[in-house]
Amino acid sequence: MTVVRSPSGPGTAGAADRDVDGQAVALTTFSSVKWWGRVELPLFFAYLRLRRGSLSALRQLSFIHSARWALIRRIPYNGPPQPRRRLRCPHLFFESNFNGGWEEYIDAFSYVLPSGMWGFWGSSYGYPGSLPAGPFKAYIKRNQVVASHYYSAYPEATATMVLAALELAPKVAALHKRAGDMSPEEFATAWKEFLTDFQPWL
Amino acid sequence: MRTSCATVSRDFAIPAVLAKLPRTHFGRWVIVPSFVKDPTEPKENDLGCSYLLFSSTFDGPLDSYVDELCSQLAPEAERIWGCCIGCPESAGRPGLKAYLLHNQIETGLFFSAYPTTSLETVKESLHTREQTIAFATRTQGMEPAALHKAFLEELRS
Repeated sequence: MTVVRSPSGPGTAGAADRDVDGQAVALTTFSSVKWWGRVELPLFFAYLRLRRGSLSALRQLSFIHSARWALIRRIPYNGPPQPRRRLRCPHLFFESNFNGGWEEYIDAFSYVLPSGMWGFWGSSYGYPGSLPAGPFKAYIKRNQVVASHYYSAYPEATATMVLAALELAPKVAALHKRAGDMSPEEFATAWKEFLTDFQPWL
Repeated sequence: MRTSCATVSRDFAIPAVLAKLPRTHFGRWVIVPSFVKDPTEPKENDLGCSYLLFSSTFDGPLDSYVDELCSQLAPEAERIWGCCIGCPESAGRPGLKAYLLHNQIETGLFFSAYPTTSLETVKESLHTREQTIAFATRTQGMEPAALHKAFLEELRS
């Protein structure tokens, strides 16, 4: 994180647009963390990293490309004229790359991961709990910072489309490999079966 | 410093600047003017100035990615980080790499829906899927011989 001199921040007009690139949407939040979050969050992150399948609930949310959490304990110092600041409490940085509506995204997080949400934000000041979703949405909105520039390398694709494409492409290649040795009639049957079997990925 | 946040925001209007870095899935720049103080928080964290957050989701090792960023994005990097305190005068020089790494914040937890897949594979797979859908739509009711020939010609992997 680097220092911008002027204290004025981005305006709110057109803010949502700057968090969008095609189908992809950016969410960026910071929240102040209570003293015990210094211990709880690293332990929680380690637990999720080490325990196989612990993030499977996130995979169920098929509209998430990726997400990241970081605990900011100190602000990197770059010499004068940067003001020296010692953070009074650590801050939790969260970012997500997803597709679909903001409201639906937060709703899904709240309902699919209610206990996991406490692990992430339970140590943050003002966290109202993930359910009911209304206060949690207000909390996220209050702590959200709109991007100045957001980029997706495949803006036309949703996460579901990417996952479907990754499943489908090897099957197409395998059929192509076999197709050279088939008669037209055999291929027509194989193609029909292919379309039936892999319909969900098309 | 020479520029304001407004100027920085205008520079970010450069379309798809991160497309120059072919390992980048997603990226963002965020200007953070201050941290939000919650009413239950005993004391405010005064940042003293705005901060520029850069985040990228990319393939492969960090070190070579930052090298690519400093070389392939040199003009843009100079404009973007040039307004930040401590950034080397000429952002394209090796000093930029050291500067960016000095300001790095370690990720605590990262989740990806397709963690082992490179950007190249994602793009190729999306293209194949698009081609397959178009082919299936176009060849409905086609005779077996024509269908077979078209498949072999059009859906080469």
